[in-house]
Amino acid sequence: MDAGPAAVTSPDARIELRRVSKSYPGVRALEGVDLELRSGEVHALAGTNGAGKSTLVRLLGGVERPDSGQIVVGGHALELASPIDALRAGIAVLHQETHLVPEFTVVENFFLGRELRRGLRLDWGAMRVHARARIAELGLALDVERRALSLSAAEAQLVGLARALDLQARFLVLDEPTSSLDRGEVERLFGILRTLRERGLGLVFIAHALEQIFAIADRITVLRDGRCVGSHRARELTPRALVASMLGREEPDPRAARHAAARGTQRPFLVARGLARQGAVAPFDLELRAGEVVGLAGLLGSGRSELARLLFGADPADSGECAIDGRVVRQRSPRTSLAQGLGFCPEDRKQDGIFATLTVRENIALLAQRRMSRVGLLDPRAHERLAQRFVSELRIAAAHTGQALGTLSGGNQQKVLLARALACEPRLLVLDEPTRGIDVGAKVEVERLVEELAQRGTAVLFISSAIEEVLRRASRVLVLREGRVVAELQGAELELERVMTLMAGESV
Amino acid sequence: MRHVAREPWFVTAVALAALLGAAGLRYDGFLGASLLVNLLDDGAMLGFAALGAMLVISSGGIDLSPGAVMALSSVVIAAAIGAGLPPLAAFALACACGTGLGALSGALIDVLALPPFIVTLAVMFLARGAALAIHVESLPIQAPAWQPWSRVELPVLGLDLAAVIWLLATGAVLFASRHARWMRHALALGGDQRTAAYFGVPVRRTRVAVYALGGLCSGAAGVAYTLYSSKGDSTAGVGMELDAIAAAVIGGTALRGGSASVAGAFLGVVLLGVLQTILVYEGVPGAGWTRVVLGALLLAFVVVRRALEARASR
Repeated sequence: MDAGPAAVTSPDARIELRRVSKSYPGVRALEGVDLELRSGEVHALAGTNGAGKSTLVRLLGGVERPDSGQIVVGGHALELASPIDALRAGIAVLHQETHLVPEFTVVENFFLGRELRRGLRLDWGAMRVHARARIAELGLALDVERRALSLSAAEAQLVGLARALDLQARFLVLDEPTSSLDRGEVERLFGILRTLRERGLGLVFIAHALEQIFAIADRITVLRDGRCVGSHRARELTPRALVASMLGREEPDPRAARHAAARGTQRPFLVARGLARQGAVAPFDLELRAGEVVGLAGLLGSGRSELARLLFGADPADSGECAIDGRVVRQRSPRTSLAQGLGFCPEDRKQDGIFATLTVRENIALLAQRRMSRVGLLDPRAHERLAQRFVSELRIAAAHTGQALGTLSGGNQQKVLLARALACEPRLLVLDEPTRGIDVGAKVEVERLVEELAQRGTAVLFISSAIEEVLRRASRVLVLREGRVVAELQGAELELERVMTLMAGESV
Repeated sequence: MRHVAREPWFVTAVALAALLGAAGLRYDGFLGASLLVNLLDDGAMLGFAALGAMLVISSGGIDLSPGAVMALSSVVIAAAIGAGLPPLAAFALACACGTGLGALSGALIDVLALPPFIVTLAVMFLARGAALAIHVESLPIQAPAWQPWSRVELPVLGLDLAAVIWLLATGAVLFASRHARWMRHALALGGDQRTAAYFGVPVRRTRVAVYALGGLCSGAAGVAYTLYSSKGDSTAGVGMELDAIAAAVIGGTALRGGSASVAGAFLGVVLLGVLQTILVYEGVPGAGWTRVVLGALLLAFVVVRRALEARASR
C-alpha cells in the first residue's frame, strides 16, 4: 500500500485527528473534529445516537475516508484507505455486531487474512496451538475447531479481541462492545481492558450505559451533532454534567398538560394483557389511550422492536390477548391491524420500510390505496393529491412526487414513511426508531409531528435509543430489559439517570 | 465417524451408494470398472463446470456463463487448429479466453458493485454470441495434427485425458480449500464479506481470482468437449450452467456461500451420471424423464439437508 511508514513503535505513540469532517448524502456526520488518543489510556466517546461516534470509528478503522482533515498516527499523517492500512498502522477495530465469519471455525477466523504457511501448505496445527493459547490468555478455554456461529456473543467477541491483540495492535477501538453482554461478561471484559491499558495499549471505548463509561474510562470526549463539544478527564466529570454535555440545552416540555388530558379520556384504545412471544418478549400489560405518547426505552436487543412488532401483529403472540376498542382480537396480522386503525413505522427503514425504487407518491399512497380505490381501480389523481398534501405538510424535500424515494436523504425517507402511515389516519401509531440516522433538523420535525399527532388525539408508541427524545415526548415510559418490561415510569419519575440505570440493569 | 457424517457431501455419498447398490442388485454386471470409466469419461465436461460453479457459489456469487464459455472455448480450439495452431496451443488459448471472461465478470461485479446474476448473464450472451460469430455451425477438426489427440486414452484404467485432468483438478481444489490462502479468503467472502474486509482480506483481488478460476474451469470444460467429440460447436452446453449449479448443490454446496464442498461437486456429477445410466438401463426413453428425475432429486436434497441442519441446530 502507499500509506507510507505505518508501524507505531514509540511507547508514547498517539493518534491525532485534526479538523476531520465527513458527510453522507443529507447528513453532516462529523464536522471539524479534533481528537487525541493516547496509549495507556481508555478513551470513551460519548454522545447520543447520530452524534458521530460510529462515523469516527469507521474512519479510524479505514472503512471510510474523511472528506477533509488528517489522521496522524505516531507523528505521521496517514491515509487509511482500507482496513488493511489501519491494521498496518496498529489500529484494530472491533466493529459493532460484526465479529467473525459465521461459517468458519474459531481458528480459521483467528488467522483469516494472515494464515500461517509451512511450505506449500497452511500450518493448521501451529495455528490451532497459537489461537488456543492466545484465547486462553483472555481467560477463555475454547475448542478452536468450533464454528463461529455456535459461539455466544461474548465468546465471539473475545475471539475477535484475541485476534486484534495478536495483530500487535497498539490501538484498539471497541464500538459498543457491551451491548450484547450480561453483567458478568461486562465485568470480565473490563478486567481484560484494564490489563491491556497497563500494557500500554490505547483503547477507544463506546457505550451507551453511563455507569460503564465511568467504570472504565480515563478520558471522555463528548460528541454532539458531529462536533466535538469537549474532552475531559473522567474523574473531573459527573454523570449529570456528562449528560448535560451530551444533550446540550433542554427546551421546556408540554408533557404535563397532555398527560392529564390523556388520563381524562374514557377507555383505552388498545389494551394488551399478558402478551408475550417466546424468546423475544416476556408477558407484559399495556394500555394506550387516545392522545397519549408512550415511550419505550431499552438497550439494543432488549426487545423494544420485538414488542412493537407484537403489538402491531407483525409477529404472532404465543400467549396473552390484545383488545382494540374494547374488543379482543384473535388471529392478528399487519392486515387486520391496519384495518383496525393501527399504523407502524418499522425500525429498519431500508429493509422493512421504504421501497427505494418506487416514487415518493407510490410510497405514500401504498397503504391508503385500498380506501381510495373505486370499484377496485386506482385513482392516480387522488394519489397525487394525497402525496402533495403530505409533501407540503411534512415539508418533505423532494423535487416532485414522481421522484424515486431512494434518491432522497434519510430524513426525508423517514418523513415519507410517516406520511404513509398517516395517510391511513391511524388511531394508534407505533414508531420504532423514527429518528435514527437522520439529521438534527429532521429529528426536530419528527418530534414536532409526534406532538401534533397526540394533540389531534392519536395515540403514539414512541421507541428510540436516544432516551432523551423519549423523555422529551412521552408522558409515560416503559423500560425494557432482556425482553422484560422492568418498569413503567411517569411524571416526576421520568428522569434520564433513572431510566438509564433501569435499562442497564441496576435496581433503583 | 461423527465428523464424516457432518461433512456437507455425506448425504450425497449415502445417496450415491444407495443408488449403486440398488442398481447392482437389479441388473447383472452393472457394477464394474467399465461403469466407473464411463462415468468419469462422460462426467468430465460437466465436472469442470460444476467445480467452477462450486468455487463461485462458495464465495457468495453465482455464474451463469459456463455453458456459453464452454461452447466458445470449443469453437476457439477448432478454429485455431483449423488455422494451423498446434492443439496444445489451441487448448491454452481457449483456457485463456475462459479465464479472461471470468476475470472480466469478477472485476465488473466488484468494482461497479453489480449483481453477479446480471453480469454473468451478460457474459453468457457475449460468449455465446462470440462463438456463433466465429462459426455458426458445428466445426469438425480434421487437421492431421489432431489425430493423436482424438479420444486419447491413458494407461490408467483406460481413462480419457479429460477425465484424468478433471480428477487432478478436483484434487488440486480440494487441497486448496484447506491449504491455499486465496481459497480461504474466497470462502470468507462468501461467509461474511464485511467481516472479511475488516479482517484484512483483499476483497477485490480475491473476487476477481475466483471468477477467473470459474472461467478457467469453463474453458477446460470446452477442452474436454473437444477431446470428446473432435469438434467445436457454438450451440454446445446450452443450459449446462444450471446443471453445474444443480450438481454443486446436490454435492452440498450452500447457495449462501461460505463453505466449499469440493468432493461434493465431484460426487454430484457422478450421481447425475449414475442416474442417467440407470434410466438407460430401465429403458426410459428420451431426455425428458432424466430432467424430471433431476428436478425431483434436487428438491429432495435441499429438503433433506434443511431437515438435517434444523436438527443439528437444536
